[in-house]
Order: sequence, then C-alpha cells, then structure tokens
Amino acid sequence: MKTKEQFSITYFLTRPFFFGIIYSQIFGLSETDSIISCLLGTIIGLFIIFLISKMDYSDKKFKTIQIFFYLFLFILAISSIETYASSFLLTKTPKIIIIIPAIMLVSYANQKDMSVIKKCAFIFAIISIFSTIIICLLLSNYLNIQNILPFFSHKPLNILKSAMIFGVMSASPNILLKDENIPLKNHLIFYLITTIINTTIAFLTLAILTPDVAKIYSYPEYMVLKRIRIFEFIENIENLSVLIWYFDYFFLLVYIFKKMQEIIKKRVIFFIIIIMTTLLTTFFIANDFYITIWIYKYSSIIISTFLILFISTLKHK
Amino acid sequence: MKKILLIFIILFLTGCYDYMEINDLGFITAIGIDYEEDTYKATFEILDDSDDIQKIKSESKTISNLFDNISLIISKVPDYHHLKTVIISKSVAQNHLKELTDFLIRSPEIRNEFLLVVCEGTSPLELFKKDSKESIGEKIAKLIKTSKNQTNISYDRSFEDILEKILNKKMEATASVITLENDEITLKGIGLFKGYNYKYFLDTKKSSLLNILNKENTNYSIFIENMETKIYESNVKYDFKENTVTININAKAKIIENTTQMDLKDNKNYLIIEKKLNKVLENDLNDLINNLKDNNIDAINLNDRQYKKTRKNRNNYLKNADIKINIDTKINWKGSIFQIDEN
Repeated sequence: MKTKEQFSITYFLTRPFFFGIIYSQIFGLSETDSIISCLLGTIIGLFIIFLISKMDYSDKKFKTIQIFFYLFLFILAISSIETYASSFLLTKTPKIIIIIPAIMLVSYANQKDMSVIKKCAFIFAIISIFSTIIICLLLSNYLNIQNILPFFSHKPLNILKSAMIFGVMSASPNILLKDENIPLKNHLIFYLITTIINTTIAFLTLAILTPDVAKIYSYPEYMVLKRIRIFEFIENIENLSVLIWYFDYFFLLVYIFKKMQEIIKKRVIFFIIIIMTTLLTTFFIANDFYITIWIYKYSSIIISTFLILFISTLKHK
Repeated sequence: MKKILLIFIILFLTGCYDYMEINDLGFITAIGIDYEEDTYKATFEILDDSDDIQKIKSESKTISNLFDNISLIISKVPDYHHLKTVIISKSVAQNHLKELTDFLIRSPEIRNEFLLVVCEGTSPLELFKKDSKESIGEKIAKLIKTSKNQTNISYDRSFEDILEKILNKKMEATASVITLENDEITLKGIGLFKGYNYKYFLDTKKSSLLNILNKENTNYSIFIENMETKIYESNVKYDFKENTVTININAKAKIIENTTQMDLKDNKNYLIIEKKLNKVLENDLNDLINNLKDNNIDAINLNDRQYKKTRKNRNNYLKNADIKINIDTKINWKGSIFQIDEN
C-alpha cells in the first residue's frame, strides 16, 4: 500500500466519531480546557495506536469479540448519521429511508477490491483536507482567542475524562487497519496529523462559539459552520460543508463491512446480521433518545472495554 | 446485483422525501413578538414568489404554537433560514426571553445569526402595520449596521453572541433598542440585560461609550466651546489589581466643526483641545460607569475580563471595583481648512 493511501485511510478511520460524539462530550466536560484535553487525548491515542500494532487476536476466541466490536462501531456510526440527518437535513424522512441508501452505498463499495477503496480514500482525503482548510480560513475571521481563556480552570478529572474520550474514540477505529501493514511510525505520524486537524477544528469551534454556547449544542462543529459567510452574500453553506464528516462515516462503514466479512465468510449470514443490526439501531436505538444518549455517553467506556479485551492478547504473544 | 443496487441507490439517494418547491416556501425575514394578557402575539413578515411582503399575525399561549399557527393562515411552508431580525417587546425581553431563546436555538430550521432587537415604547407588532415595500427585517438590520459608523448606538451582533453573554455568568448581554417615532422606526440605544431579563436602555451618549469600552466600535461626538469633535478610533486596555481597575484609553479624534476663534495653525492649541477632550470623555465615562454600578449591571464585562487575567471569581465585581480612567486623546484630522474666520 502506498504511503498516501496509508495516510488517507488512517485519516478517515480516526475522524468519524468526532462529529456529534467526541466534540460535544469534550466541550461539555472541559469547556475552556478542551484544547488541553485534545492534546492529552492525542497522547493517549498515540499510545493506543502503539498497542494496536502489538495486538495479536488471530486466536479463534477473539473472533467473536471482534464481531461484537465492529457491530458496536457500526451501531454508533449509523445512529450518529441518522440522528444528525433527521435533526438537521431530512426532518420529515423516516430514519430507515435515510440509512438504507447509506447502507446500500457501503454494500456496493464493499463489493469492490480493497485497492479501489484505498484509491477512493485518497481522492476523498484530498477533498476533505482542502475543504477543511477553506472552512478554517473562512471561519478564522470570527475567532476570538479570549473565548478559550483561561486554561486549566476546570477540574483535572474532567480534563482527563475528556482526554480519554478523545484518545479512545479516535484511536479505536484504527483497529480496523490492523492487517493493513501500515508501519508503526507512519501510523503514528498519520494519526498525529489527523488529530492536529481535529484539534484545530475544536479550537475554532470554541474560539468562535465560546465554550458556554458550544456546550449546549449537540453538534457544535456543525453550528459553527452556520457562521460561514463569503463576501456578505454567500451564506447557508453549512449543509454543504458538513459533507466532510460524512466521508469519514462512509470509509468507517466500508472497513467494518470488509473486516466483518473476513470473519463471517457466508455472505447471507453477514447480510442478515447487517440488516438486523440496521433495523435494530434505526427502530430501537436512534428512535429512542433514552438509549441513544446512553450509548453516546458510555460509548467510550464500552470501546475501552473492547480495547482492554484486545490488549489482553498481548500476553498471548 | 450491482445494477439492482444502483437502481435502489438512485431511487433513494435523490432525497425526494423532504423535497419542497421554492414556490411553496414562505421565507420569514422578520418576527415581532409581544406578550399581553398571558398571550404571545406575533407578526411574521413573509417573502414569497410574489412581489408583496405578507404580514401574518399569530396569537397563542405558548411560543411553539405561536410559530405553528401561521400555517393556519398562509398556504406556504414557513422557512426560517433567511430570518434577519427578531423584534421583541419590553415585556417579552423582561420576562419571557428564556422560553423564547430555548425555542429559537432548539429549532434546527432557525439560523442563530439573526439580530435580536428590543422594541421600547410601542408594541413590535406596530412596526409591521406600516404599509411598506421594504422588508422591516432588512430595514432594521441595515439601520443597526449603518448606525455603527455614524451614531454608534447599536449592538451589531447576532443572537448567538447575545446568548453567549447570557450563558456566561460573568457577562451581561446587550441588544439594540428601537422604537416608533413619528411613524418611523428609530434606534434608541443599547438595552441592558441581567441574565435573561431586560432591565433598561442607555441613552445615545452612553450607548456610544459602552461600545467604546466593549471594543465594539468607536464613534463619539464631543462638543467643546463651539467646536465639534469626534473620537473615531480607540484602543482600550484594562489593567486589574485586586479591586482596582485602570482603564487606559488611547483615542484618536477629528475636528468636525470649529466656529471658535482658536487658531488651528498654532500647534499648541491642539494640546489645549486634547486636554479638554480627555476631561470631557473621562467625565462621560464616569457617568456611564456610575450608571452601571448603580444598577449593578456589568455591561462592560469587567468580571469576565478580570477573571481571564487573574482567575479569581468575584461577585459584584463592577459594583465594588475602584475604577480609574486614563485617557490620552490625539487629534489627527481637522478637515480641509484651519478655520473659517481668520484673525
């Protein structure tokens, strides 16, 4: 695999849970100290990436854990897509109609060879980074650094908690890249670059919206896009700009499909599991905010539990 | 299989489910909200494909019904993406801003970039009664923007900025205040809030000074003995030492009008004018600060400013603070003439 493709897939698999999950939780917990949390979270994430490279869960008994882990990522991803789309974009469309095309698109991509996916990832990574740079430049006009001061004014425990959320939620999808043979040094560098980009987005969101406002929104990273205005007449482009977050979910889902299919060889069983999980998520999770909020709240703990289970494979080596 | 998948994707990905023809949309550009006899009353200004501006009235006990009820009158789907101004009455600003804020920011269809304006002396619904081809929402938004460079008595920030100050316990929110004078919409000054509750508005002079102290904009006219000057640029710095606050202002002034006998070719005279300007500006600023102290409204956000520098949480900081003002004004513009009557 070429270095640029290694970067692209690391980029896409590090970012998905920032939208609607990581940012809103971090801003709520650490407020002005969110940037400190992001930096600490990056260190934790780098350590997790290092641990992932040392894991060896080829043992059969870990296959089931792997499937459950991938399914949890799948549930988290599709419930996040459904919640966002039904709240802001397609308010009248039933959630199942929102998610079916997404699943079909991913299924279609799943039929393609891995090399095609990686080439696509590279093209989309260029679009995503270019769009992010443009968005950041357009938003920089509104930023006020005073809004994120003073640092270290919140409880260290909250800063640590949000750093853990950042590290765990951003690094854990990289388990999907375990068999991609990305050299550890490259993987660490690419993860670092991605988190720097995402920390910049967190910085901009906080410095523009202020922590007091950012923490009340479910999608502060989306709300900040509403400020974009070009030459006083181009506005209302937040729904276009938000596309960059959708690319991440697409590649995450494609990788989940690929990895699950490697374990579940029978396609029929694989599709039954996917359809059942989609229906379950749509009708029982995304349609019930008691469960949705619970999952968002404890997702980092659930993923950490999976990580601990995977880390236990280190001893088997 | 691939073809079937593609057909499904084409069918589903077109996003027809929420599709709405532009002709079916009514773009709401302004809303005036009043509260009388336990009832919310509102007028919605709606632009659609026709040339006319529709003004729809609605009444309800709750804010959500107030917004829903317009669908009983118009055959268009209300679209709030182009909302420019929300004008609230004094009673809404005083007692119901929290409910309104919650509704507005919760609704994903409403962009929080609109201007929130308080209407004093008359109901905001009166503003919409005038038969005009111009949108009231656009007009008020322009009025607030142009005032910035002229009288400087408006608060040209979005609703989200007001919300930021309401939510930050160390800050107090401000908003532009308008009224209806001689049947014309007129800016009155800047209104002050304590939390979600509107208290009162500052006169034009104090509003302009508040904008200077808050580093929003600088434009302040000073008359001294038949001479009109204007402070048009300022650099304000706050220095905190326990309960003592020093406000250092470096200002630049223009001579706008001079009918005195003062010889403006003599450079010493500029020092005399500058000294007088410093004195007047200091007195005016002290007036404003005393007004804020008396009402215990920290509209210059002193508590937040000191917290960011000292990290000490202090209650009623403005009221207890000893505030010193140092002003250094320099005249650097006098127009194209020295004086009309040469000695």
